[in-house]
Amino acid sequence: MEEDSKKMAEAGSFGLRLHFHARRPITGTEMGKVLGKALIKSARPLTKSGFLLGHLKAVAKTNSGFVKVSVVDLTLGPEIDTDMPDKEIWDGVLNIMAAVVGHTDKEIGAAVESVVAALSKNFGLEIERKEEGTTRFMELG
Amino acid sequence: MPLSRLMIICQIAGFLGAGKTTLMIRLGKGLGEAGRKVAIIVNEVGEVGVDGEVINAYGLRAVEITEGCICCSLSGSLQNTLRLIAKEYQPDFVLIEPTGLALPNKVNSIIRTSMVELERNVSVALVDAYRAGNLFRETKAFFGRQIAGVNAVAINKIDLVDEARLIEVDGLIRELEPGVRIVHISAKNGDGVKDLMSILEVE
Repeated sequence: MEEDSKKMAEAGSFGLRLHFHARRPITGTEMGKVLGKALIKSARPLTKSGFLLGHLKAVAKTNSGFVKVSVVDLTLGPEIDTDMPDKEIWDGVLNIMAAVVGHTDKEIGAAVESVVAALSKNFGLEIERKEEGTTRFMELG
Repeated sequence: MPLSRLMIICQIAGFLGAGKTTLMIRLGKGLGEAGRKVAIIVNEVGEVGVDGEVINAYGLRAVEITEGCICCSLSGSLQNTLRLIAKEYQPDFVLIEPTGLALPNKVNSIIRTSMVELERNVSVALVDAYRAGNLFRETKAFFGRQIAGVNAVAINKIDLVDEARLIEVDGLIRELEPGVRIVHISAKNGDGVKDLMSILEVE
């Protein structure tokens, strides 16, 4: 029987692709901080003593460039990479993905959804979600 | 070194969060600056890709395979992608970033049966020096399978640990894979990456 490495590692994963609109323009640096805070908060239930057996990551893609944020250990904080630290962002596409050993797809899905909720509620980003090829608007904030 | 007409495939494996994408970008840029034509294949276990977007943003050419693992459920996708790249793009190097849950030995088997002509196939396991102790404690068997049979182990994030921790990590690797070649790198600041590149060129 063919081995499935995800099952073998007892890992779960989940990913989402969203459109976002900022209610005020934010810079790439600010976007990195906002995403980092949301990812760190959402990663907490998936950690063991601050240590994550996997990672949560997100990339915001705009016409001007990208902001990528990755979290692998809460004590280290988020790793942020961007090619537009000072450029203003109004809208773009946000991909969020997580994979963690010892957690189910459902548990990781809940963590990813909490990233979306935090971005909307605490950071004033309006989220539009793409599902099965269609786009529908979600008012989460 | 003369340009080769056959491509070299290099797999950069390693656990989730080991720094594979950062290393892929650094290797891709380094090989490009050395006159090599490079193609990159990125595989994500989740439904949505993140790393392919970032690699492309650095001006490199990445093909993204998502929604499964190329070492198991998406093995056919990897073989088709390799054949397409070989035919349409004819690179000197194909860098493969499997998911952080993939097993390098299985990816190597799939490459061997992909019906593409190769100069050689090199596999490197990337290990996060900062988290290696925890990973070893929590997932020793899986950790062992992720470094089994590779040409080299690159211990990454050396900028985050001291010499004592680095010696400990070397010991963990030696316990699992005695005799394997080990290089110490920081994909983030570039330390040691030239040593790794020389392994890819001549291994």
